[in-house]
Parts: sequence; structure tokens; C-alpha cells
Amino acid sequence: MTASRLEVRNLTRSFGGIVAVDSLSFDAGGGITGLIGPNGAGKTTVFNLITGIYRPSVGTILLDGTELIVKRPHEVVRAGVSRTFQNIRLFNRMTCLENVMTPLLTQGVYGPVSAFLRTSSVRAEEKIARDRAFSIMEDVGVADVSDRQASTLPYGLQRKLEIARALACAPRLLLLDEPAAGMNDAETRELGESIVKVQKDFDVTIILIEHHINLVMDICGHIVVMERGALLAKGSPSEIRSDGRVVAAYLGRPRERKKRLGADEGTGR
Amino acid sequence: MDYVLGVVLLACINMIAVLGLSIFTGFTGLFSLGHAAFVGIGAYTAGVLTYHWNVPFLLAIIAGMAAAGLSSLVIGIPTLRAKLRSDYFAIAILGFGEALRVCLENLSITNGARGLSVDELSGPVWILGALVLSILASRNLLKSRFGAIFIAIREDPIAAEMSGIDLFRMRLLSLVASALLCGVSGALLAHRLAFIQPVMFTLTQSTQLLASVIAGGMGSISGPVIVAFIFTSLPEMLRSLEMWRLPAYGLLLVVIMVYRPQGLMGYREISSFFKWRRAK
Repeated sequence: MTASRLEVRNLTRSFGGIVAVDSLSFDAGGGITGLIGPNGAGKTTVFNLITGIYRPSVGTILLDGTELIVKRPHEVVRAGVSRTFQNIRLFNRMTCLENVMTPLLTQGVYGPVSAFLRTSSVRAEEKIARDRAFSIMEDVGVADVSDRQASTLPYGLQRKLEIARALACAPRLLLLDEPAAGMNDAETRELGESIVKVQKDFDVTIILIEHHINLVMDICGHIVVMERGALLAKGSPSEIRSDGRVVAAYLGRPRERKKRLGADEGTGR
Repeated sequence: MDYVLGVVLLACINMIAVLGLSIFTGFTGLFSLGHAAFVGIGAYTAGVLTYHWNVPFLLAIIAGMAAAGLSSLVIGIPTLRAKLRSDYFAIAILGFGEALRVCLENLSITNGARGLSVDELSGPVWILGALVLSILASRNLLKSRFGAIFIAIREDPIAAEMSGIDLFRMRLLSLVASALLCGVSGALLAHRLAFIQPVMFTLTQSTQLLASVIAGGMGSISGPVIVAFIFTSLPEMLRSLEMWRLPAYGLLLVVIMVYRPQGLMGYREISSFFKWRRAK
């Protein structure tokens, strides 16, 4: 299967007088694309536009040639896009397994009447969903905690569980919104390895919003830099690292950069 | 003895309505201040059919159910579309309930505000049978993928939508399922009391239904059903207190809120409570 391709063209969205995303165009396809920029650059807004939570004022978003902006959020999910959230959004009072099963059950086919009667096809479908959810959880590394209530998990596992749930939507494009926020260096490195593994195992195109620059430089094949809603630069990690505008606007000079990264970790955003 | 049986049967009828609201409020997380309207529609549809046309009781119950389900579509389709805000529905159904009362009071077919005297047709077999069927159907529905979807919507509508759930359709499904049960409850109520009046289906009754669901535990079937039984029979048991009945009722609610803010059963079922005790 060839990797899915997302094409964003001339994407613009304003809220009142504020232009949150300004004529943004970029492509993402095959592997992991990093989406970086200072706080307030409009990165999460781009995710909300891709997933149909917001409608763009202008612009198009194509996934393998299919227009996404006319779709409602759940239709975007069915078209092959799923995401995680900057502030984790799990179904807190469900178990971890039930969290991952929910998207799978949503794809189910039986209707309410079969549900009332609890026919054998209902039970068969549930068993398939359960097995599939468990196998996804094994791949992501959260199978050990499948019976625990989601809200009781430590932070890092909640992040991973959210990725597992997103994968249960069978996405072709996976949007990760700051999955390493609030993690220390060792946890971040481990998460990076999981993301690379997920990308290969599930053959999914990933867009990653992240402030841990080292993580982005390590795992992304392609990086898009935003500033104040607009595209500042795009290219390979080495091109971005040597781009004077990006360094000035965001990365900072080497000495300042260390300080800045420390501050970013502290805010957890 | 007849008196006790009467109270128990009335409690069973209320349990069916509370079960219905529990699907909508307890599991799907949407508040309603007007579910008594669906009980009223069920009661009047069935009552009018048996009174004017001598329709067989079973058909009258089914018609009451269907009428309540259809009217829930009428109120649900425009209001539940509102993206992530569910408050619109709570307010709209409040108005719907009042409008219904005014209609019932002014129609000649319902005999207006004087009320409609129908035959006493719902005996213990009808009522207990309907209760058992309602509990089984709700349990199966909530155990199925729809139950998981409803709970996901309650826990986090945005994450639910991003799991591929069509919020509007599933909220509507939850509403229709709950209205169907309320309709059954109404049809049984009309033919139990043998008399119905528009004032029996107003905000006061809606609030009682909601109180039972919240006090019983959101996301539990058994909790609200048990509380509905207590709430219906309590006023009868407290008859000796006369005018102090309502304060006693209020006090009980306050006590539940203080000591069991998650409701009597919380998010669990009474069966899981027994399993837990065995495990210990």
C-alpha cells in the first residue's frame, strides 16, 4: 500500500479579527511530518481544521484526493483521519480496553433491534472488536493495563492509550498533538520510538505537533514551521536547522536554545 | 393488601419511565426537564384509543410507545443538531412539555383539563411483564455497541466524535429509546389509575424522573430503578407525616447528594456489587 498523502492548500481561518491560520499550504505523506512553531502559531487550529471541528474561511484539504473540509468530524474520521488531543481526552470512566474498543464498535454494522435482542451476530461483532482492540494495545504497549480504568493511568500511559484509541479508527493519517508534553527526556525518547514503530506497523502517515525539538529532529522526515498562522519554512530536519528565519523566530541561537527548551518543558504546552 | 399492591404497581410503572430517562441522562449525559411529556403522550394516545375506539390494550400500548417515539423525533431533530451544546435540548423540551399540557387541556378528544376516565386495564401481569421486558431490552441495548457509544458521548463528546461517532444520530437514538420506554410507562399508568389529567405530566413529574436518575446514579440501570421504587412508595409510607411528606422527600435527596454524590449505585450495577463482595 502506498502511503497516504495530505495536501493542504491556501488554508485560512480567522476568528473575529484574528487570523489564526493564514494561507497555509503544505503536504504530508509517507512517514512522519513535524509541525512546529511558537505557542499561538496556529498548529492546533490546523488540526481542528483538518478534522472538521472548525470550517476554514478559505482553502482546501485533500486526503488522497478526497476533500475533507465539507465533511463533519465523524465523517472525517471515517475518511481515514484520527487524532489525539493536546489536553488528553480519554473516556475516563471506561476501562482502557473499552476506550480502544469504542472506535471499533462505532464501525459496527448491527442495528438497535439486534442490540435489543442480543443476537449472535452482536456477540460475534463484539468479540472481534475486543480482540482487535487488544492487539492494537499490544502494539502500542498498553496491553498490560487493559482492565484498568483510564483515569487511573499514569500520564505517559494515558498518552499512549490515546494513540491506541486513535489507531483503532483505522486511520490513514494520524494527527498527534504534543504527545510528549510534560514528559522527561527518557520518556520522550521512548515515546519517539513508539511513534516510529506505530508509523511502520500501521503504515500510517503521521503529522506531529511537538515542542521537544530534539524529538522532532530525530523522528520526522519532513518539518513544517509555522509562525503567526503562516508558513515560515518547510523542509528536511537539516534544512530547518540551518534556516536562518526559523532559528531567529523559534529555535533560537544554540546557547539560548537550551534555555528555551527547558522553559517549554516546564509549561507542558 | 390491595393498597400495598397498588403502590408497588405504581412504583413499577414509574420505574419504566425512570429507566427510559436513565438511558438518555444517565448513559448519554444529556439533561431533560421534560420527559414527563413523553409519559403523557403515551398515556393520552393509549387512553384516547381505548376510550373512544375500544382498541385492544396491547395495541394501545404499542401506539402510545410509537407516539412518544415520534414526538421525540419532532423535538430531538431540531435541538440535538446543535453541535456540542446539549443545553438547548433541556430548555426546548421544557417548552415542549408546557405546550403539550396546553394542547391536552384544550382538545375535546382528551376531554380537556377535566381529564379522561379510561378503563382499568393494566393488571399486575401487564405491568410486571412490561417492567421485565423493559429492563431486559435496556440492559441489552446498553451492553451493546450503542451502550459504549452513549457512554463515550457522555464522557467526552469531542473525543467521541473523533472516534467516528455521529453525535447527532446517536443522541437522537438515545432520545428515541428513552421516549419509547416513557411511552409504555404512560400507557400503563393511564390504565392503572383509570384516570388521566394534563397536570399529571408537567415539570414536577419531569423533575421527579430526573431526581430519580441522578439520585440512583448516572450510568447505572439498577440504581435509578431502585430509587424510583423508593421515591414512589415513600410518599405513601410517609402518609402519617401528612404535610411533612414533601420536606422529608427533599431531605432524603439532600442526604443522598451529600453522602453519595455519585448516586446510590454510582456508575455500577447492583450485580457488580455482589460480585465485588464475593471477591473479597
